[in-house]
Amino acid sequence: MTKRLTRWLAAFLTLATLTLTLAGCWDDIPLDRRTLVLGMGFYPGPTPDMVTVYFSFPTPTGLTSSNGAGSGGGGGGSSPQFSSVSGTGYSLSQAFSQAQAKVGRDLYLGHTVLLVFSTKLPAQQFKLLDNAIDRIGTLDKTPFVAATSAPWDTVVSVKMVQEEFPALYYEELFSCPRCTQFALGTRLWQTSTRLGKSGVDLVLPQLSPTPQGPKVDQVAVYRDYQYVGTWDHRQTTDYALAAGKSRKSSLTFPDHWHATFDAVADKMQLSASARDHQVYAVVTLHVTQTLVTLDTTKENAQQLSVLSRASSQQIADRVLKILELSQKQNVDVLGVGRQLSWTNPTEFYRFKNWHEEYPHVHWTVHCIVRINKMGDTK
Amino acid sequence: MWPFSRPNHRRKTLPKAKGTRRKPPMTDAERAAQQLSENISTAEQTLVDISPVNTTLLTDLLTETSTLQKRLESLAKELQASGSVDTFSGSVELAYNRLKNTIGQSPDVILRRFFIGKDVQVPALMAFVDGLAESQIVDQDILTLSQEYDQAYRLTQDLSKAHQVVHDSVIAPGHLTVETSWEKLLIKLTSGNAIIFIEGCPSVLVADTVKFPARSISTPTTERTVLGSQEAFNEIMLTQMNLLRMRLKTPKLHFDQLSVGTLSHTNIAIAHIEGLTNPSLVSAVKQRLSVAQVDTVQTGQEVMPYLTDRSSSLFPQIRRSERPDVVARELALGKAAVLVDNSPFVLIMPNTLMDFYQTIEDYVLNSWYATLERLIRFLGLFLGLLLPPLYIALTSVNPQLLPTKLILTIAGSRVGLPLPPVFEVMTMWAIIEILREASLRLPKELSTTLGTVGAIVVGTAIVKAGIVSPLMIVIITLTALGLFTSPSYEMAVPWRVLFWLLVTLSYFLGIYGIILGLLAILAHLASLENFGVPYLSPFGPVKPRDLKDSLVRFPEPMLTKRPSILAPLQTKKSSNWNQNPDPSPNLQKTRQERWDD
Repeated sequence: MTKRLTRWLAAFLTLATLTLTLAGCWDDIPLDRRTLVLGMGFYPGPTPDMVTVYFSFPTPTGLTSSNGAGSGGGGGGSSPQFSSVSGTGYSLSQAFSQAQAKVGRDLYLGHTVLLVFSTKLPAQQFKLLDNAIDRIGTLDKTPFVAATSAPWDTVVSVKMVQEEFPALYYEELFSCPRCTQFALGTRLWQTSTRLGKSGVDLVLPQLSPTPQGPKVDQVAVYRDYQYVGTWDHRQTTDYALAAGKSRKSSLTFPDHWHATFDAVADKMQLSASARDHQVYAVVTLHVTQTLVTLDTTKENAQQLSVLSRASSQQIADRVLKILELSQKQNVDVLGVGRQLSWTNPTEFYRFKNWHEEYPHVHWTVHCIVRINKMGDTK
Repeated sequence: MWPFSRPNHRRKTLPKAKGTRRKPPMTDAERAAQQLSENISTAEQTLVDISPVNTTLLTDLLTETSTLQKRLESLAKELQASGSVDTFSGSVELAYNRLKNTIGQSPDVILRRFFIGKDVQVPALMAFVDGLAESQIVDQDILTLSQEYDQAYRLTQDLSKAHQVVHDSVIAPGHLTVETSWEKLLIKLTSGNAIIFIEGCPSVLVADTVKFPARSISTPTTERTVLGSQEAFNEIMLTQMNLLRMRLKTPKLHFDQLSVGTLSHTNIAIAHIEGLTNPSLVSAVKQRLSVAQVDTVQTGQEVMPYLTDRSSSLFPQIRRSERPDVVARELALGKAAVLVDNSPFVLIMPNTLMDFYQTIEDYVLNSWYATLERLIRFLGLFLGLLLPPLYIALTSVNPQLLPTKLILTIAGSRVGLPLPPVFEVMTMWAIIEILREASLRLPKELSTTLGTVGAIVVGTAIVKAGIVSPLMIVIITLTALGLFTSPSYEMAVPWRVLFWLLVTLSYFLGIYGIILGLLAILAHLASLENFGVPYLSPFGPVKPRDLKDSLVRFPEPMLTKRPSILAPLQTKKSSNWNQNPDPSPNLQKTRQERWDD
């Protein structure tokens, strides 16, 4: 063997060894030996300082069924489409380990699409979980986050017709903002930008399983990590209008030719300023409405003008009302403080505690309405 | 093996004594005598070894000894007459004996004694190989004319110049040469020429009677086209030259001939267009071929290492084509071609990677079609090369990179499978290779059926048996098809080898490994050069002018210049494509005028 060849061989072997050892390829687990966790649920544990984590994943039957027209099946049936395991511990890793011991394959979190937090979760637990989730290496920041007051089994065994796996149903629901009434989907990275930050509070869509199917028409509002309450459907509609997340809200004007509109809030602009220790927030909404019904055969310019003014007024009133409610509950759902910190940081940091200041914010709501005539309904 | 071959071997292995003086060179007679002596002693030894004595072997041995004796006698006489064993002495009888005892023992070598002239008869001998020489020329143009020649006295006037008379006035073949060396004569004889010895004349006439058994010109099988020419080269170099001349009628088309192969003496011609092809290129090809020392050249592959800069590379650097139109086109661009006798494939050089992905069809149809076809070929290549490695990487190492729904589909298709993805790929690819090899070796009628039935039956059965997933069948089918989208057969081979490299890398390192592998392949391609032409040209180094006919093909009128990378002596190949000499004829007006008349 020539000297040159020996040198080449030595260099090649060194390089190959380094590549193979440093790349960590020996830890690779093939797909066949992984359990693909699609959804995770975080619930309070048996004691106040413990947490119970549920991991929902498709079963082999669920994977092989071509179209498992979902009766769900977390617990029932001879061949369930999906299953859940749970683990309880003082931390997420403890809970994970306990759950891992219950399954024969690697619980893989790289494809988790839904994280559900119980509304009963104490603030301290929520904070710890937030930190722990941030440290899961395989979990990226794209899963959708939601809140629920229902037990995990109820959430995942809800009757569905569109998707065989509950987590995938919610993922589809949230990832298509124009398909639903409200674009309430919040991804993990968006949640992280609100949690623990001064000047903005968390708003999560709340999953409400019903006998008729899953329902997502409410939001849970948080002050920092503390669950404050759930807004009902009407309040959620108003919030969606205020936040520019309304997609298919319906507005009715019985006093004005029984007109009905589908309202789409295209854009929301928020500006905040501080003068003499008083914060002023201006919300400007650009709403596009589609005229759905009218008791006259054909609308005219005057009617449209009247309707435009009326709807503008109605939307502004409703938005103002929900914002005042948020002040009462002291949850900065629109992020006025954050806006102020961006535009006028000196003023913002003068406030020691934003939540003491938020209830005193002075609101101004402008609403600009554009009406599409009948026939433009999509 | 006949034991006579042993002494030479023994002699070679004998250790040389130190300090011995260098002996003076032996004469041919001494060498022959020594060889005879050694042969006889070997025969004796063989006889001793044989117990009991085999009579057949003994008879053979005696015959060989007798032949050897005769050969030695004729050599000695030849040496006495001409002073050299390699030069014809002028004695027909000696020539006859020499031929009879050597090559003449073969049944296909015909030795024909005859007389030139009717009244005055000059003895002559003609030798030719039956089947390789045209019998009509031998009979009518040489023998008949020689025997009926009525002025044979002219030969006797000066016998040393008798061959000139025969050349000028007697025999009729169009191509006649004169030779005196036995070594060259025997090569000419085995090449299909008839050699004519005249008594008293030291020069031997070599008549071109070559008529090789040849295939007719058939359709190309490895480079098929729909609209292009349907002619392919055959194994005869002369036919190859004719087919090229039909397409390039310029007198500047040159064929420089040389012979390679110590045993085969294969004729090789270097085709180029004088005044267009860079002379350095032609000179380099000639130089490389002239130093080639191989015993036989049968397919052209034997001289490839001499023509390539890095013969150890996986990638072909010499393009082989059986299409005359392709070779003619490449010659017109400024390349050189090597025609090899007995091989229907002409070697074209120098080449870039892109050349292997171009077909003549690209130039028959319009540029849109050509561009689409080329892009599809590369798409096929990337699909074929990367699909299984990506599947392995994404299912074994990097599952997080797949969309959730897709990974659920894949996971669903893999439920219950006993093999990990990498073995699944290996199993399927082994089956594909076996089917490919079997269908290649079988007769055409059977191979198609076997290929189709085999693929369907094996594919269905292996999925039903739960050994591989249905998705794998799709992937492997696409791979098998994709890797063969290269129009050049030899270009499919390196990718099939590299496929395994990428599969291994993807299994260990995932996507990272695939990228590493691709970078290594790219680096290797970038380092390749053939006759000074970078293999990745026109992309690396970038040659904007040549990009017009690379991955995309511009319309023909825009390809006005030859590839700059070939450095041809004439850069422009067309210059007036946009100069319309005459406006379009006004057909309506002409018709109206005729009507008015």
